[in-house]
Order: sequence, then C-alpha cells, then structure tokens
Amino acid sequence: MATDFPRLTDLAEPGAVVPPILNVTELRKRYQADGPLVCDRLSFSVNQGDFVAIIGPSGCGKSTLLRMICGLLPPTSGEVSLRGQRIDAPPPEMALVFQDYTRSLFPWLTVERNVKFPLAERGDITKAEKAERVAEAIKTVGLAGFEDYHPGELSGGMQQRVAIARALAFRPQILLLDEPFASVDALTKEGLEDTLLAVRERFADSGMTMLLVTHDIDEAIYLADRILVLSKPPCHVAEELMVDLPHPKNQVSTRGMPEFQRIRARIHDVMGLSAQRDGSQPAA
Amino acid sequence: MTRLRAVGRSLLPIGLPILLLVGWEIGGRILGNVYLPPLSSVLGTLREDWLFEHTLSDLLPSLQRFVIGYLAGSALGVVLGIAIGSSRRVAQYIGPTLEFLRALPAVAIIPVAVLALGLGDSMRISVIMFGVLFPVLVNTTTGARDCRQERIDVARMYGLSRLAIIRRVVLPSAFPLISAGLRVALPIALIMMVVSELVGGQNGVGFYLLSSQSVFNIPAMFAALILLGVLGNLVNAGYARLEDRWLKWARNL
Repeated sequence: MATDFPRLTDLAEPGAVVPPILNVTELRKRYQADGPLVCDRLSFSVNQGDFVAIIGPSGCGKSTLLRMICGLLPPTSGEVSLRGQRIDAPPPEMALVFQDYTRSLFPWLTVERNVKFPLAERGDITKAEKAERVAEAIKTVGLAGFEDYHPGELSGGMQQRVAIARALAFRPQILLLDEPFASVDALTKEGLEDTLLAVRERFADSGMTMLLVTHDIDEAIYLADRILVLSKPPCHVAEELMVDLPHPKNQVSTRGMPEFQRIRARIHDVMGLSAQRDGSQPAA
Repeated sequence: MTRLRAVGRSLLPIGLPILLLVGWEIGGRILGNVYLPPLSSVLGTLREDWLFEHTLSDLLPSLQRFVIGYLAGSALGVVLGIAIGSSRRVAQYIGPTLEFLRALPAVAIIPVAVLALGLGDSMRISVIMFGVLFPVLVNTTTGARDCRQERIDVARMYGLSRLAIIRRVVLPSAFPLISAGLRVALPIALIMMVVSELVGGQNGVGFYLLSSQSVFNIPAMFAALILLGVLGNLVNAGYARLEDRWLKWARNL
C-alpha cells in the first residue's frame, strides 16, 4: 500500500533536497595508538557544486583531514563517504592540488606531460580526448604556450597553475585544494584565486565541487560559498558560515564589502584571534 | 705581454702532459733501458698492433664483455635498488646480505668465479657485473627511498598501480642518483674487464697486456696501457655527454 506513494527522492526536481555528495561522519584520527587525537568527531557534509573552504589555525589537522577525505590516509574511526559509498582508497571522482608544487610536480616532465599524467595510464580514454582535455586544462589556467617548458623553468605561481591544470585534466567531480597558494607571493596569489573562480565558472555546468583547505581567512571568504571553521586540535567544526557575496568577484571591491568584513570579524571571533588582541589591553 | 700571459694560461692544463711525454721520450732514449722504451717506439707498436691487427681479435672481445657486463650489472642494480628502496620488507630481507657482499673487494671473487664458471666469457662477464652491481644498487636504493611522498601521493590519487607508480614516479625521481651510480660504475667495469682477462685468458686487451709483459715485449705492454687510458677517457666523456642530455631537467631544480 505504501508503495503507491512516490518516495521523496523520486520527486527530485530543481530545488528539491538532494543528498550531499560528500559526507564526513564522526571522523577521528590518531597517528599512534597512544598518541594525541588530531581530529575528534569531525562531521560535515558538502553538496554537489558547493565551494567549501575549511579554515583553521595552523597545525590543527587541516591537511590530515584532507588526506582522509581523499582516501590517502585511513581514519582511526568514523568515515568519509562519497555519494553514500565509504572511501577507503583514492576515488576516481576526486583530484587533489597539493600545497607544495615543488614537491608534487614532476620536474622531469614538461608542462604538457605533467598535466597529462593523471590520464597517462587510462585505457578508457582515447588519445585524441586526452590531448583535448590537456589542452583545455592548460588553457583554463592560462598557460597556453608553455606546454614544452619544464616546471623548473617556470615561476612559483605558474608551477601551481600547472598543478591545478593537472587536477582539472582528470575532470574530477570534487576538486580538493590543500593550501594551494600558501607558497606564492601576495600578487601571484590574487591572480591564482581569480583563476580558481574562473575554473569554477568554466566547470559550473558539470557541477564540480570544490573543497579548499586554507589558513588564510580572506582567501576563504573571497573564494568560498561556505566556510567551515575548525577548532584547535583535536579539531572539530567550530562554526559554519555562509558567504553571500555577489558574483563576479573582484579583488578590490569584493574585499571592501561590509558582508566581507562581517564574516571576517566573525571568523576572527571564532578562532579566538580577537580575544587575543583584546587580551593584550587591560579591560576598561 | 698580457696576450702572452693568456696563451700561457691556456697552455697550463696541457703543460704537464706534454712535459711528461717529452720526458718519457728523452728518458727512454738516454737510459736505453729495456724496461722503459721511448714513447716513439711505444706509439709505433700501438699503431702496428691496434690499427687494426688486434682490434678484432682482442679489442672487440674486451668491449663485448665490457658492454654486456656493464649493462647486465646496471640493470640488476637498478631493479634490486628500486625493490629495496621502495619496499621495507624487501630491504629487511636482502639488505644485510647485499651489505656484506658490497664490502667485499670485487676482484676477490675472481677465483670463486673461475671455479664456478670456468675460464670462459661467462666468468668474465659475471665478474664485471659483480663490480658494477653495487655502486648502481646503492645509489638506486637511496634515490628510490628519497622519492618525495607527495609525488607518490599524486600518483595514488590518480589511481596508478604500484608498478605504474614505480615506473612513472619512483624511477624518474631516482634517476639523477642512478645516473651518478652508473657513472661511478663505468671505470669499475673497465677495471674488472682487464683484471678478469689477466686470468687464463685467450684474448682481450688485458690478455694482450699480460702476454706482452711475459714475453718482454715492453713497448706492446705500454701500448696496451695507452689504449686502456684512451678507452677509459672516451667512455667517461661519452657518458658525461649522455648524462648531460637526459638530466637537463635536473639542472635547475
């Protein structure tokens, strides 16, 4: 009798409730059996197409969290699931941009071959499509014309662009970024941030989800739609903030908006940065 | 004056060799000692014997052993080194044994090799392989062990198999060190080639060297030394050029 009624999921229409693409449930991590907890009961979920930034004080376990999400590191307890499937190994739907391009790029390969690397062993993609994906990824990050250079011949910012292009060529549904702009100068960083927004725009139709781990508050607000603030270790989600800033974003005007400042102040509060500042002055 | 000085400076590196060679010629003539023939008579023998009478009969077999032994020893060293460097279990299993064998002076295994393999080419090639194996193995192990975790993680993220990770990431990462090992192994291969030919040989440059000495053909003995010196230098220079080309990417790291 009950089967006569349509289920909620059958009614899925634009605007209907869709289950999250990524679920992180009660995640706990200790590196040694008797060691300290790095993460404690960390839970959150991400919807398809979201741009989520995870921000926390340095050393709070952000990178550990990201490595568990992408299946490179097994959690001590709890689980990460992708569309309801538990992640035990790196899933083919994810790509990761590492923090340090000097360590993650392959210096012996040209830019083009670095970008092609994720596809090199794939037998299910034709040669022509590989070439097309590589060319598109290189173009998206603005490196057209540098295909035959080696990473060592490029500036830091350009190398990180190569790393982003490499992840894009894989056509992930979820793009993970581990402090991708932590080792470039401020000006280069702004350019890379805008490239990331352009990438998102470019792959918006395919619903690419982005998960950025950073310790840079302004970067998180500028890029993400949603910010998860992690606590000090053992880390858990201390606060979740929605960011409602108008698109297209602009490095000058967006950062000057009252909403930007409001979120900034809130994150400072949650991370205890304001408290430290106030604490340095005697209370009135 | 300054120009003269510039010419003098450019002659500096070749000054000593010229002095030694001239000294050899003059000394040989003045002393008239049978054990020190003048350079000209050595060069005469060199031309007579090695252009090209003994080229096919002695130089070619030597080079054959050298090339086969060097390549086989290097290949074995790379394969074992990668296995040890990328698997802790393999390292624990065969590491200590190899460590012991490595400390053994390579030439000391010649008597054993003669007993086991006789006096043929297989003995000589094996001896060269043994000499080449360890410098290549040690460097490859270090190179594979030091492969950055991030690079391996990248490959794991994109679903590469263990073998593909070794081929596409570990091996090229280790290559600058492997190449240094291959360079060190070249002169060792040459040494092992000559020494192995001194034992019960029928042909080869080492055999020619020893048999010339035993019949008091001193100019021929020195001619063999010059030939080996030239050979060693050619091989090293050739490798340097090759390395320069395939390690271009490692120069601005």
